[in-house]
Amino acid sequence: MNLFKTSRILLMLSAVGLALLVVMTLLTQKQIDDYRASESRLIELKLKMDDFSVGSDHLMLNQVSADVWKAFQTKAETLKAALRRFDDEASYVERASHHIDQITGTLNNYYGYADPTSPNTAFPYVSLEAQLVMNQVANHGIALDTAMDYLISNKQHSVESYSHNVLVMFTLTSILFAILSLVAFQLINRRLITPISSLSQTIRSITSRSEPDARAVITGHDEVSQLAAAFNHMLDSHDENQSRIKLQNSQLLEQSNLLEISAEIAAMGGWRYELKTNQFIASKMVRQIHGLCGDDDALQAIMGLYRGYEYQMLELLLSRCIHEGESFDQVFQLDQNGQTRWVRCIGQPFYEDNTITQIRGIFQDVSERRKLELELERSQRIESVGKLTGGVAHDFNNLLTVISGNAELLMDELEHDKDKALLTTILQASAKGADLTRSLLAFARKQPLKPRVVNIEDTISELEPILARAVHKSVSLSILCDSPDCRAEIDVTQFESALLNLVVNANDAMDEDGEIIIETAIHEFDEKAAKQHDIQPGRYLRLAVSDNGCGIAPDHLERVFEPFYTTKGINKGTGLGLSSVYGFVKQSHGHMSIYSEQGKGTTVKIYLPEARVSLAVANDTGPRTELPHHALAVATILVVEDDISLNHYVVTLLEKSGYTVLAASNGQEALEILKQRDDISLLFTDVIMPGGMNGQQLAEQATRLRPQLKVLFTSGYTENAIIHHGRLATGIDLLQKPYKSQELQARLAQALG
Amino acid sequence: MRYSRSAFWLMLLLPAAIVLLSGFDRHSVKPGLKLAGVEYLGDLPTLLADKTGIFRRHGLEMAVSYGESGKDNLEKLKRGEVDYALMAATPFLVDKLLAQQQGEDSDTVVLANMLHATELNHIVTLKHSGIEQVNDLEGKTIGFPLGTNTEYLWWLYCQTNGIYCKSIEVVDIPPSMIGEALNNHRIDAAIIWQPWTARLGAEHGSALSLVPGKNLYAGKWLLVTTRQTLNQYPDITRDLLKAYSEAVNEVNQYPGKAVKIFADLHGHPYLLGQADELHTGLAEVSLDWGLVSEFNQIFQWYQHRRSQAVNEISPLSWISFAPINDVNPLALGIPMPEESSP
Repeated sequence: MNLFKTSRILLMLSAVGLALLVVMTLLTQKQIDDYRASESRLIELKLKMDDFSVGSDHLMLNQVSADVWKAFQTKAETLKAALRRFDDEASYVERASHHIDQITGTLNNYYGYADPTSPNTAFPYVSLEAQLVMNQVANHGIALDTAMDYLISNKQHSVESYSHNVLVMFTLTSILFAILSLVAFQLINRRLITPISSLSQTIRSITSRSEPDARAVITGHDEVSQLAAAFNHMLDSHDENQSRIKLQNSQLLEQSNLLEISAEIAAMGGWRYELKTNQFIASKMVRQIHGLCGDDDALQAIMGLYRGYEYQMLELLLSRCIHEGESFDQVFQLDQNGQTRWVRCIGQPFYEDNTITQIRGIFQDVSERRKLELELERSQRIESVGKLTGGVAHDFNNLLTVISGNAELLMDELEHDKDKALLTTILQASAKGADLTRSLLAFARKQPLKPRVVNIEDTISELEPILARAVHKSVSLSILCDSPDCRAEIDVTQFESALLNLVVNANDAMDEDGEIIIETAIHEFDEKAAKQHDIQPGRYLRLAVSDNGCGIAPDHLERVFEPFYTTKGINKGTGLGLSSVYGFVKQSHGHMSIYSEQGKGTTVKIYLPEARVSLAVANDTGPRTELPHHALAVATILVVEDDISLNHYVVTLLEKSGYTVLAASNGQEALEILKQRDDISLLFTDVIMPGGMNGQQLAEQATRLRPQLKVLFTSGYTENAIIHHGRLATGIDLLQKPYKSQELQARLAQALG
Repeated sequence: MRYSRSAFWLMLLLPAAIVLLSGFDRHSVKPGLKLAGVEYLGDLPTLLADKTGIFRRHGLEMAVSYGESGKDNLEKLKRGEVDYALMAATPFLVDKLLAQQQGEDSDTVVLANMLHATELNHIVTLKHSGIEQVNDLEGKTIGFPLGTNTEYLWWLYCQTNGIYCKSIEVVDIPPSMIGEALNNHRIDAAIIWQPWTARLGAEHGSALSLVPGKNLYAGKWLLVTTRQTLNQYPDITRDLLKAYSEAVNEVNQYPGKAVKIFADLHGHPYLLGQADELHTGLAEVSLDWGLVSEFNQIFQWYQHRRSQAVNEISPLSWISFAPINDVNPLALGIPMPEESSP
């Protein structure tokens, strides 16, 4: 039975008890009152009897008047009647009544009260003095009775009052106790059972989810209220913890999502290998990297995908990690479905109590990075070769200029044909050497370009006859242009050379029959693709040269852009064709790619940035004034060249042409000469010179001294002195080494004119 | 908590309400009446009821005066100057007998006897008077107020001690003049009552002495009113008896306290030192055979005094039984005549 029902039952029992107590008290009081009334009547009767007795004494001593006697007799009858009320004690009542009759009878007989005519009779033989004494004694006796009556009456009253008070106090105390019991039970009901019921209801509301935010009602500061407050606090803490857990779960989920994003972007997944249970647990990404599906993520299933050396290496590293605690970080090649991918695997031991219990690690698909690394390696290699090539070309051009120039001078001096034939051979060798150095410079992107905006399709159309002559008659050449208005800002000469080079290579890839297709189209690179190829995003002209020749093996394909690398036979190529095209395209801010399948053919694509300006505006260089050559030969020319042989050759050549020639081997020397001579018309200077002052710097100081001074630069390798971003700076007049004597004289005349 | 507070206030206010309601009933003041007491130690209940507010507690607006003797009070009552009067049995009975002889009926009735006392009256003398024994009184002069209870008491003294009364000269003198009369040798002895005895003792010290002798006197002190008042104010009369009952209890329980009040009020400082030792008699409110006996004895004195037979008296007709029977039936010891029965 619960407290509520118990309390209710106790309350009802208390109420019934209270009612019974009141009834019992009233009955008891009535009974006591009855007894007390009976006793009072008896005492009263006793007192009346005493009075009657005293009165009889008086009547014995004194004959009284008739009315007193009559009253006395009436009193006697009254007392007898009063005695008869106590019928439960009949024998005593009868006896008392008999004595009353005897008293009245005796007095009546003696004094003759019954006879009104009888004379007054005094008490016999009693003197007045004795009579007074007896009267006085009787009087005192009456006073004694009165005093005793008072005493008894007061005492009786006190007893009655006391008993009444006791009864009243008892009744009041009982009622008070009963009321207090009621109040106590009510208090228990209100302050214990009701709050507990409320608490239970709150718990039910919460557990049934009908009122998840319900709280116990707090009504005061007693223990139950404190319990309710503590309960509410517990609920608040629980809710707070739940909220915190939800938040943490949310954060955890967010972290998980971010981790998944990271794993997806980084193509990386984690794994764990439990040594005790041989359980291998891997993330979804691990399965994805290895092309597994479902729950097929067992270690053996993954390891089985690796072949040969890769498998052995992976097994060895895992074994060392498990048994010797050696961490590993290794990239493995994974050949799967005809594709090669690279997967990085990291493994680390996990210790518990100095014992390896787990191996933890990651699998990461690093194929893209690996490709970029290879690309970077190749770019760096090409860059190195380019720098080397540039340096060699500079010195080589000087040598070729000296050789060819002196040969030309000798040609004028010799008379015999046999000797001239030898000189011709020297000149032809020098020309081949010059071509070689130009190709090297082109590859190294150090050749000075003179770009202009041209219509590519027009340029190709103009070149088509030359291209047709460069291929076998059995090979068909098709030109498919799909970009009629496409313009590009290019060095036309270099572009034509590049296209010819590609066509020749395609022709060489075919034995007899075959087809070469030249296609143009517009291609747009987005940010990602542009960044991947190290170019600016935007529209590009795509020129593709395809053949159905023998193709190139994959392992050779990566190196085809390197200089002096060729797949052709001995004496069939210099190995500078594709590399010079590659250098030209890159110098023109474009991109070049090659795709080849052995036995099927090869396609080489070059991408050149589309020009946004019109042809007329871009190529408006202004009118040129042509002056007669003989008018210029009287001018004084200052030649600055650090190469002594070349300096001597140039001076000799120009003096033979009629010029007044002054020579200097470096910039400082040239400036000294300029300060001393004011008749110098033209400064012909090398660009790259020792002594801390290059040709550009010399020209600047010289023109400050002589503002009218004309300048003609010459260089076999200009670096960055006068070429910016692969193009000649504005207003620069450059004669490329090696040059022929006619070229030099023509450019001088042009410069002076 | 609300219920317990209500129960608390209920329990607190309920008795208070009962007390207040009962108090209203007690304090419903009745019309003012006059009562004549005596400057007498036997009349302490009157003094106490008057001065300690007992009358007022019983709703009585009583104007109390204190005369020199009960005889004077009887006269005032008969003249209608007061409504109630306190007096000894002698003047009341003498008045009744005189009226009876004249064929008249006095209107006065006894309501209750208030006292039974034997040592409140004394025969005093000064040492130089030469009175040492009872017989020394013969041939001497004794003073007391004639017509009062003292005259009856002197007769009773003579009868009891075997003295021939006529050999002793009696001088009618009020109690206030007795001291001076003794000093002037106008009288040799005097019959006085308290507080005059104590006053003379204080004035004369050891020179004052009490004359020895048998004392058969038991003084009564009656509360008397007229039938007119009784009929007009039956409730007041009953309340008066109730007030006297309370005062009597006070006097009997704390006689010293009552004497001190008496001494302070009536200017008897010499009583203060002996307040607790003074015998003031048994105060009571009763109608018992003692009163009938007293009447009978005084009647005998009266017959001796008149030296002739007097018609039989009917003392029950001089008593009003109903009020005391209503207030305290136990105090009624005398059988009520049939016509007077309540």
